[in-house]
This record gives sequence, structure tokens and C-alpha cells, in this order.
Amino acid sequence: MRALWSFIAYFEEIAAGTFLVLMSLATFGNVILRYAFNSPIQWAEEFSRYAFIWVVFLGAAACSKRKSHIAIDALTLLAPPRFRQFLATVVHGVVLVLTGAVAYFGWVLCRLATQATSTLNIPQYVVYLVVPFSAVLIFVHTMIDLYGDLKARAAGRAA
Amino acid sequence: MLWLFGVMLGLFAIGTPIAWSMLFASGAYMVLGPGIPLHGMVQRMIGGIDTFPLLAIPFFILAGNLMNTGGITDRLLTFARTLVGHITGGLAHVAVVGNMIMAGMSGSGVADAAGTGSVLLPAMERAGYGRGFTAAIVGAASTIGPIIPPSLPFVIYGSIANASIGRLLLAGAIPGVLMGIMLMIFVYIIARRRGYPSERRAAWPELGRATLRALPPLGMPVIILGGIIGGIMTPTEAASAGAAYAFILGFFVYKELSLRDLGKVIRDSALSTAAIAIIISAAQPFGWVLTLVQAPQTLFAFFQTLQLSQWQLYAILNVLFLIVGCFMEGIAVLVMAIPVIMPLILQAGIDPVHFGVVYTVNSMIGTITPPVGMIMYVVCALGKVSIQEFTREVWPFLIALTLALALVTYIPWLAMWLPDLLLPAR
Repeated sequence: MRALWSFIAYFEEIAAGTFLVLMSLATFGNVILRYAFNSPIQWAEEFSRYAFIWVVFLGAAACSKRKSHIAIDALTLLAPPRFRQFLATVVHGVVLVLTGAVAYFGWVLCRLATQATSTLNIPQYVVYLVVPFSAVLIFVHTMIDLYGDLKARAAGRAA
Repeated sequence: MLWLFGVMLGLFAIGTPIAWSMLFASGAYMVLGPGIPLHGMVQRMIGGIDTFPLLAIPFFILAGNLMNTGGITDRLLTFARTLVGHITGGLAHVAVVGNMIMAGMSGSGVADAAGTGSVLLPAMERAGYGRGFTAAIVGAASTIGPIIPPSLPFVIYGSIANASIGRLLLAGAIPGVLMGIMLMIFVYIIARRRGYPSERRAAWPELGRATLRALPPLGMPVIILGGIIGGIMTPTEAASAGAAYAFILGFFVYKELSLRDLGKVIRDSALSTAAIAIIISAAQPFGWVLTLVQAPQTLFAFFQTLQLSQWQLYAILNVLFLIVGCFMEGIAVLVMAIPVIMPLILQAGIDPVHFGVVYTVNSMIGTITPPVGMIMYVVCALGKVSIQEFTREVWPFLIALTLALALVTYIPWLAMWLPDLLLPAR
């Protein structure tokens, strides 16, 4: 049970890491196959490219959870704590609107992208699905953060 | 059109992650301006990272992290100490030379700063160097990381500016060494004035042993560059071979990499990759919106009226980017500014490869200038140094690196000789 919970809690980074390993194996494996055995895999490059897309978007969700996205915090650090708290709430609101839109329109894009890819021959939306999926994950993480903000504000007012 | 930038810069200022700021501003423009359906934005986000050359990013990051945990960084620093430790200001020179050697294996300045910093910062403090000075020189030396190949920014620049990544990588080699020499000159002067210590000179057998121990890791640049120059591998494939080599060394040869470490390395690499690549992804719709509002054309027309020579254009761009670099993160500037100014560069008859080297050296200086600088953050956190202390000590090194930048800018031969020799443009 605990293993299951920690799998859910760390799902994004486990998945992103797995795709990173897979794309490394596909790219490097293909070099070996080409030179040592003279028989490269045709779909290796396409597979690595798609795996990279999954690494990036799932990883972006994990970065949201860990707050490790690259941002400029030099200015907000100068603000008084109360105001900084307010700005953080604004940022969370912006991210909610954005990821909501990306989730919805990502889904729209997936419904449109039914063509097959060139060498793997899978429907395009299989690759694109990671975008709405990750956007939903980021939306959820941000909701949790926003709830934290509001609770902290309420606690601040009570004190 | 101006409110587009206003929204984005405003979001930057209140601490919104850079990628989300760019996406929010572009999305808002697409909806409120010409009313373009947003699934086009999502498609461009995916398209922005769906290119094979960019896959070198995770591989370079993976290689760097594997070297730091697999005991390779330690061996290289020991090697550097036997080489230059006996010069006045010994360990500070070790920081420079160690980083130059590391630069030949890793493509990321931040990874180098973390790797060399965690070893050198405590060692230098024990030897009596000031903490601020230590953080400053390790930070300044880490900026060489992406200049000497392999290099993350060159890969990103090459794929955005449509310049040969192989030629870019080679073009960085001599400028990177030049930056190191400049730093060592300034270190020597400061060390003489402050009476910093030197290490005991290594005896010949000691030097021999350290060289032998450092030899296997030094095979890495040979694999990467040899693979690219020889036309055996694409830069992306060479990067994956580099990561595989670092893994083999750390796991099978040195046996310092446990399975547990490996899991952490993979996770950290995936997260760093995402943090960088999501900005590149977000830059794609943003760049598209910029062309919709004709930003590159406007800028182009404006510069055309100025009638600048190459020399003046370089001077203006360098000063501009140095200022912007103080406040902005380098990759964000790269992905936003390069598509806009590229027409200008080509029209002035500047080789995009040379400009790429100049721009990258410039942006690396930005990583150690306050208030915003990724390498500065890393070394300050590792060394428990305040930004103020760091700033007080870093300025001589900023001068050294800016001098190197000027030389690289105005003596194009420094950058272009090696690629022209080994990988002539078709």
C-alpha cells in the first residue's frame, strides 16, 4: 500500500526518468547497431524524439510539484512577506488559467491529430496526449498550492 | 503589440516560471488579438521540442550528473592539482584548470559548478581562502563549461539559428581556453597581493599516477568530438555515447555509482532537462506571435536606418546582452532573442557560428552577474555565501571574462580557426 502511494506521489518523475532511459537506450543502441552490426533500427530516431517530448512534459509536471521551474525570484525576494504571499497567489492563478487552457486545447489537438507517424506508424495523438495529461497534473499541483496559500492567509488573518 | 511584452515581463517580475509567462502572454495575444484557436499554440509547443538535435540536451546533462556521482570529477580535480597546484594561489588555479578539463566532458555550467564546487569549496576554505573569493572563482571558472565542447547552449543555439552544431562545438574550444587563461592571470595577481598559499609541487611519479587515473575520463571528449568530426555520429548520438561512457566508467570501472545513485541521477537529469526544454517549447509559440506582430521586421528596419558596421553591431549587441544577462536567465534570452536578431546578423554578413560563440560567452558571463545568475545561485548555496559577498569578490573575474569576450568578438579567427580546419562549411 505504501509502495503504491509513493508510486503515485512520485509518478511524474518515475515516468519521466523511464522515458529518459528509453530514449538513451534507443539513441545509443542505434549507434551500436549501425556500426557493429550494420543494421540500424528505422524507428529509433522517431521513438527517441517522442520519448523526449514525454520526458519534457512529465518532467515539467514534476518540476511544478517540486517548484524547480526556472523563474526570476530576485524581485519578489525584495517584497515584504505579506505582499510576496499575495504575488505567489497571483502566480498560481495565472498558472491555473494557463494549464486549464492547455489541457482543454491539448485535448482538442489530440482529437484532430489522427494521422499515423512516419516510421512508428502510431496515431499522432498518442504522442500529443502527454500535453493535456501533464497540464492536468500541473493544474492539480497548483490547486494544492493555492489551497495552501489561502490557508496560510486565513491563518495570518486570525493571528 | 507592446502589451504582449508588458504582460510577459510583468509575469517574470512577480516570479512566474519563465515558460508559463511566455505561454500566457502568447496565448493571451492569440485569443484577444487575431482570435487564433489555441490548439495551434499547443501544437507549436510540441513542435518546438520535436527535433532530433535537441535530444543532446538530456544526454549532456546525464553525462555531467554521472561524472559528478561516479567519481570522475574527483579524479579530474586531483589531476588538475598536480598540474597547477604549486602556482601562487594554487587551489584557485586548480578551480580554473579543473573546470576547463570538466568543460571538455560536460555541457552545462550549472552541473560543473555543482560538481567542482562541492569538492573545491570546502577544500579552499580549509586552505585559508575567503569564502566569497572561493565561490567567485569556482563560479567564474564554471562559465567555461558550455564554451569548451560539449555544450548545451550551442546545441540550442544551433537548432534555433539553423547553424551547424558540429562547427559551433569546435568553435568554442579556443575561446574557452582563452577564458581560462584570463581567469588564471587575474587569480595570480590577486593571490600575490593577498598572499594566498600554494600547494606543494607534485613529484613526477605523483603526476604520472594522477595522469594515468585521469586518462579514462579524458577519453570522453575524444569520443564526442572524434565521433562528430569523423562523421561517425551526429552530435546527438555522440552525446548519447558520452553519457554511456560516463555510465560505464562510474558503474563498471570505478564502481562508485550504486544503483541507488543511478536512480537519483536519472531523476535529476530528467527534471533538469524538463526545466530547460519547457522554456524552449514555450518559446516556439512566443516566437510565432512575435513574427505575427512583425517584431523581427520592425527591429530589422530600425537597425537598417542606423547603417551600422559589423564592428558597431557587435559592440551594441554585446553591451545589450551583458545588461540583459544581469536580469534574465540565459536560455530564456537565447530562445526569445536569437530568432528576432538572426536576420540582422545574416544581413551584416556575420557568420552565425561566430555569433553563436560570442553570444554564448556573453550569456555565460550573465550566469555570474547579480541579481539573476544560475551559476551564482549554485555556488552561493553550496558555499553558504551571500550574493553580496559573492559580488564583492567576483568583479575582477567579470573583467577577465569580459576581456576574453572582447577578444573572441573582434578576433573571429580565435573561434573560427578550428572548425574551418576540421569541419569546413559545405
